[in-house]
Amino acid sequence: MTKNLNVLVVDDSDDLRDLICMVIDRHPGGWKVVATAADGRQAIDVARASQPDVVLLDISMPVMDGMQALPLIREAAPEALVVMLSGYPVATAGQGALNAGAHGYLEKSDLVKTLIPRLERILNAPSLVRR
Amino acid sequence: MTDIEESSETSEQELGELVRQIAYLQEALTALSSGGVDAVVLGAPENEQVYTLTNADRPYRVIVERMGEGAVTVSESGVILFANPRLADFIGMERDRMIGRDITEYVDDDQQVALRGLLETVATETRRAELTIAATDGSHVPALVAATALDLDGVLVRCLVFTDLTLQKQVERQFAEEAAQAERQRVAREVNDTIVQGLVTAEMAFDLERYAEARSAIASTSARARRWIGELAVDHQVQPGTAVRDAPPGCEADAP
Repeated sequence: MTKNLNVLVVDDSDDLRDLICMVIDRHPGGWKVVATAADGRQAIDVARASQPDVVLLDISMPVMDGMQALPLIREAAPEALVVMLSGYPVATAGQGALNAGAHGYLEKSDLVKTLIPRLERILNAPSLVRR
Repeated sequence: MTDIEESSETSEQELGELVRQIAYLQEALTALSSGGVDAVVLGAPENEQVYTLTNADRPYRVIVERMGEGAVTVSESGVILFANPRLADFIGMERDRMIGRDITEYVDDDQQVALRGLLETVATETRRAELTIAATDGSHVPALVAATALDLDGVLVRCLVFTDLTLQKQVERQFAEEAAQAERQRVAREVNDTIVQGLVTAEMAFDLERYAEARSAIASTSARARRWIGELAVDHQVQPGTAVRDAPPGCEADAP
């Protein structure tokens, strides 16, 4: 189990953001949400200021979407793993996100049960190379 | 016949020949100066050289005859005085048959006002308008028409130059269709994203046993979906990134 992880949650839906924060804060390994942002532009500034270990980044957002923000967040927080979140199936948008430099891609469905184990898998993937 | 008489007869023949040659040369000079000669052949029969003659007007005539734009001159009342071959092509009619007809016959009814505006062009100005030419085969050719007033030896005529806009209109239509398609895809994505987002929120709230939030998310998403479908049905625009996520006024009131 990965311990003491600082997470930045980026999603334009207030309700969904709060629920994701709740799931992460319940993790017994000491995971905590250190910051949140409602769009890609905010996320860049917040990532630079908070230097999180993981950024959960929604793809579809107003002002600046996740795909546009992705390279700028990676520049602002080079040590952070960026995991994209989307309502689209992985087959639709997943490969594009990975090709664009994301470390992982999570579908939003069934997120309460799957968020933590999927994140653990991404964090512990042997192929994970911090670019 | 004496030698003197013989010599006199020869001189008269030579004189007559010289008079004929002078008359011939005078005719040739008159023809040259009046523009009635297209070419001159010089030299012995076995070594003839042909010199073609031209004048300053010829290049302009060739340009008008061969240019890709239709050109016509009309009288003040709109009677066609001259039409070039390209305009005859646009209209699908022999150009000789166009002479003497009214220019208004070849423009769609709903554009007669614009045509009249062009025909009222005064000297020193050029007016432009987009008109649709009514061709004899029933087709309609969009054209940009530039009208200029000309004073030809005291007679006022208008020169109209027609530029075929068919290709440009095709490109514009294609761009418009592509933009409309992109807009439909964008709206579909916006609506899909928001419905998915609402359902995911509800699902997470249920899983976390926050039932009130789950019901609220479902009601809110449902109300928004109904509103957008209503707006799209009457062809209103869904604004990028905002109309979908920001609940339109009244959505919350719709929620049970």
